[in-house]
Amino acid sequence: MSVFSGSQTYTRFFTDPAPKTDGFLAAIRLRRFRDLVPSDEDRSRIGWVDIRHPLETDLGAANVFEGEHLLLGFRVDAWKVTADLLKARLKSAEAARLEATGQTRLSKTQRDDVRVMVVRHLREQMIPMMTVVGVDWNLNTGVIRFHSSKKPDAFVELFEATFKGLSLVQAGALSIVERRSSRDDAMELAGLEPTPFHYQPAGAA
Amino acid sequence: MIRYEYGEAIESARFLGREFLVWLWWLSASDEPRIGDVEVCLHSALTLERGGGSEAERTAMRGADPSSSREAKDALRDGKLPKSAKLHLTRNEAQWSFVLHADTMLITGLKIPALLVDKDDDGFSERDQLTAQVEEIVDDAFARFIDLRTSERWDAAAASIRAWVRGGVA
Repeated sequence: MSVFSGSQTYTRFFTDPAPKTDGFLAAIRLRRFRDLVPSDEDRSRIGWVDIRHPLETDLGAANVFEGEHLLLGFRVDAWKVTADLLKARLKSAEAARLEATGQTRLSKTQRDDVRVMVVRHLREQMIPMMTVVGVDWNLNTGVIRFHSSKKPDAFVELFEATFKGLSLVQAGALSIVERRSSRDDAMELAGLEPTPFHYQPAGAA
Repeated sequence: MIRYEYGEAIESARFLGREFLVWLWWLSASDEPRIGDVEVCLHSALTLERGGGSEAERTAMRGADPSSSREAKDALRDGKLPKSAKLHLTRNEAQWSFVLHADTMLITGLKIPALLVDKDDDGFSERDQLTAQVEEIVDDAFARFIDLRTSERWDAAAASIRAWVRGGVA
């Protein structure tokens, strides 16, 4: 995991500094990761895990806080069934159902039932695909590194649901300026026009 | 901190990241490739783009020094701007390298200076400090660029950059 070794790829976020962490552990435990089971309707599940041991969901001060940092693993498990496999199994199951019932055609309700049964059977034979992203939150500076370059929407949603009252702003031109100066200064940037470098605009030096 | 609720403001200012990379590129090609006490070098990977989405025209280069290649300059002259660039930053003996993605200020493939840690220490604290240092360097450089960009000095700087794009010296 790039939090601890190797080259790092991460998306930076800013939030308000949070020197007081009362209630954080309880909030994290409420949204700790829970395993997917075949009978779940959800195709995927997200939650917090131990950043160093992604299979560990028993989260406490010892494995969450490190100095001024709060460290978590953002884990996503998902059932991954290829379209071809699902299609082939559905075809087989529907054929078996027709033979068993003597029908020439299944109703929509019957086809939906077959689908639910096939998906569950496939999930019982599989292990969900797991991905874990390291999250490093400096509680004093309010800088959060989400160690992934993929779209962070699910992470932002989980973070803001966990730490109510705190919102995340992704690092970018405006947010960097706002953080160093003021929101007014940042908003002035939105009024700027791009500068052409491949030709000289009228009136330019 | 107030969250931006008007995404349009953020979207409309995205071009500034690409202009920032042009400025860094121009600086790195100059006789004084420094920002404060940090030496700046563009190295080994550069992607330029014009337009966006599926209509974007892109030129991607890799190699020892793509930023000084004719192809790179031709892309600039064609109106393309750097979308991402691999940067090497050096301060005193410490060196960082990473790819900076202009539109989102995303950092990928960051390599930090070697750690000085005991064998029992996983080095997280030192690693964090060295990472925070490069973030501070990038943010400081961006702030200096914005300070220039929003000042009366920008027209003259832009003219110098145009001359360099046309084939003059930085």
